[in-house]
Amino acid sequence: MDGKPLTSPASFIDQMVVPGDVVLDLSSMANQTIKLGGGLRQDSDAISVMKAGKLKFSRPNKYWVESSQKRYVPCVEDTVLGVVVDSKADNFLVDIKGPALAFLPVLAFEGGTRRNIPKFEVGSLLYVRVVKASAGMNPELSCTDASGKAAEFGILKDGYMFETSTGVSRMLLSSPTCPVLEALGKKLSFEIAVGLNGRVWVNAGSTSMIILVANAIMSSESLSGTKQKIMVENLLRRFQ
Amino acid sequence: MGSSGASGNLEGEMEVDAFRRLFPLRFHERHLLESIRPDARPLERARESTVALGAVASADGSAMAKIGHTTMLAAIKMEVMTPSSESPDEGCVAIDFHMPPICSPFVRPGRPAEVAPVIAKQLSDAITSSGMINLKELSLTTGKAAWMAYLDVYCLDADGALFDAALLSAVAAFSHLQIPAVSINEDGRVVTMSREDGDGKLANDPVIKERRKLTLNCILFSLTCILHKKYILADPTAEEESVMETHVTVVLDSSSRLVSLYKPGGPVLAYASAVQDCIALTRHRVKELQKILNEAISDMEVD
Amino acid sequence: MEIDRPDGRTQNQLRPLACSRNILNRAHGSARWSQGDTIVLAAVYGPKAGTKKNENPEKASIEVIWKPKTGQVGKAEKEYELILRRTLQSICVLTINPNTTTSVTLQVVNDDGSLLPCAINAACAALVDAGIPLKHLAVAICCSLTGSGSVVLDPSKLEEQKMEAFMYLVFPNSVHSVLPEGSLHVDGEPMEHGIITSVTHGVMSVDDYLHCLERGHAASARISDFLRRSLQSQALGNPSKAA
Repeated sequence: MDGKPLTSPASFIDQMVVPGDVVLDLSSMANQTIKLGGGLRQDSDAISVMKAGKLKFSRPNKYWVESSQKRYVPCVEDTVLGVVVDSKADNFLVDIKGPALAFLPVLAFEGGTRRNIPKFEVGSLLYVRVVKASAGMNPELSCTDASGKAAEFGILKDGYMFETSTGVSRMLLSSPTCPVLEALGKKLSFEIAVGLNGRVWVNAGSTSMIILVANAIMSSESLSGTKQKIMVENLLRRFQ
Repeated sequence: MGSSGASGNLEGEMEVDAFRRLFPLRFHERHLLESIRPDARPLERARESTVALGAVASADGSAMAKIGHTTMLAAIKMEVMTPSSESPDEGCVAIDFHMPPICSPFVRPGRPAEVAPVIAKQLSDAITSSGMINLKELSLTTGKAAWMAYLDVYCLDADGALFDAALLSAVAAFSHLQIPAVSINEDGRVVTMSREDGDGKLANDPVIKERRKLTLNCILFSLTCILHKKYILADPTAEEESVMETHVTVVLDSSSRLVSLYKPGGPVLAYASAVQDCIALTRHRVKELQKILNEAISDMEVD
Repeated sequence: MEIDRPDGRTQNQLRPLACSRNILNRAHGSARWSQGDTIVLAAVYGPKAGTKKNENPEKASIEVIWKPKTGQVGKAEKEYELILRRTLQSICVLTINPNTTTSVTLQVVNDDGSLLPCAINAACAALVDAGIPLKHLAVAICCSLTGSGSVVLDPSKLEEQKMEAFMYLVFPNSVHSVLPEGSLHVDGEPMEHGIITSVTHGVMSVDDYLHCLERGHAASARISDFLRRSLQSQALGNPSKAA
């Protein structure tokens, strides 16, 4: 957080970076393979930052910028929550909060054949996996895992879906379990589906419980771990 | 962007026209390496320019300017108005810029070109802020009557460097401008006298101002340059403008003062040295244009 | 040469800067930027599918909508829109989301001089907030020249009217880099001295312009530092202010 220029590459890790910062110098690290994640780009020998956020490094060679957005950019193997907007002969058109609508082929279901095409009404909420995401094409989704099993993918009935940021989604999915879910889980039983596109679906026994969980998650974004716990405890006290 | 890996193999056997359309950037960069442009100009040379005064007979002042294919027609109409109370002894200049659909395939009927209001704004900024026209000279009787000069610039053919051509035609039109004679009629109102009236037919109306020329305090000229990598290309065509997107427009007055340095974004950053190079190119261009304008004026006087 | 400014600032002193991000619920990115009493609100929506006609579908396109505080959109607003669009286009990495449109809406909350630079700074902060991929940030500053040739930074509306000439300059932010010192220099000048956008108004000598450029660099470094601090602190969820 200081204004002085940092010089050694390691010093950028876990620091906040802003677009334009050059975090790696490839000419000084010949014969190394590195993997770049979101928010970084290569400009000849320099790796520079495109988004503001925290630079993360995971051993042995992965670098990415962790940031939180309201908009989602599709990425292969992400699990997301999509809303069906239209159905065509071969595809369902699904909104996943990305720049373009995603295609969900009607055969991309466990044991999917032409005979047993599922029927989704417009507005149905689906838990799906991104299988293709290349620039210039609509992303493609699937309702099966890599081995063709349905796993937990498919339609989400009942419950409540709300939109947060991609940062909250990643926090909810992180391990060890994030403080807000841990604190909620100790007292309440509920179902939750988290899409990396910033959509979260919650279902529980009573409506008031669903609202409580949703509110707790939505207000947890800017709070630290202990503050999240205190916030959840306050909410629960009012609930009981 | 024409930098596809496949182009390397294709280049050898492709026709020039196909290459130009498919890989426009590569096409131009090949030329730049040889310090020449597709129309055989050196990088720093502007296109051939001409000015013709008096293109519109019904207007009080008019001019047609051509820079290469870019053609602009400027016409000034003078009208008597009541000056505003804030500046009772000043006239007014209203400038508009039109891009009709004939000027470019990218302008469609019913959808005005996006750049047209911007060029109009730039023209009026340059002309008013430079003090080229002494607005006091446009006053007739303080607080009662003053001239309103309507300058309309029409783009007839848009082939790059629109602002340069528009400014050239506007300046030429002002130097051609003949302010009509005015008289006061029976009701005490100021009326313009048509040209025939000026011959003394209505001698009972007191003529308060004779027909005269407007004195211009300074003359403005501009040059648009493209910055691309290390190269500076003067006076780009529309094709060059669309391929290389960093444009710098410099406006200088006759005493080499900077009236405007306009660079709206663009992928190339302009450093002080490039700015100075652009200004130097403009200085050179000002001399050229001054000569062209002077010739047009002297031609007019011979007629 | 000392110049008396109505608000008692020195020539090189900027008005207090403030920036808060993520203040609009529905926009994908938003920011409010203020320089003294000049306040602009920027909202970013997108990237949305498709580009407009006549735009290159192989690149992302940016549209800018300028909402004046009062009155209708005229030529001046159209010019602001064009300058902003070209400026933002030059800092965005347009090849990452081809065939998409990102719209940036600017609402003038209050105009007290240096309006366009304030809007550019607001738009830049909003783009960062929306997570639009950027090559670098842009910082904008207004420099004005008095009749006696001295440079006054960040003029208020009252001062703008009295000035002989003024110019809006936009530079890249000063970046932190692991590369050895000087490797980002072009022609012996650091990258942040390259002009992204320059718009001038009024007559000046060429030397005056170059002089303003230098002052502009110095001021942009300060704004750049403020922007960095503001982006860094707000990731932690608290708005920042600087005097």
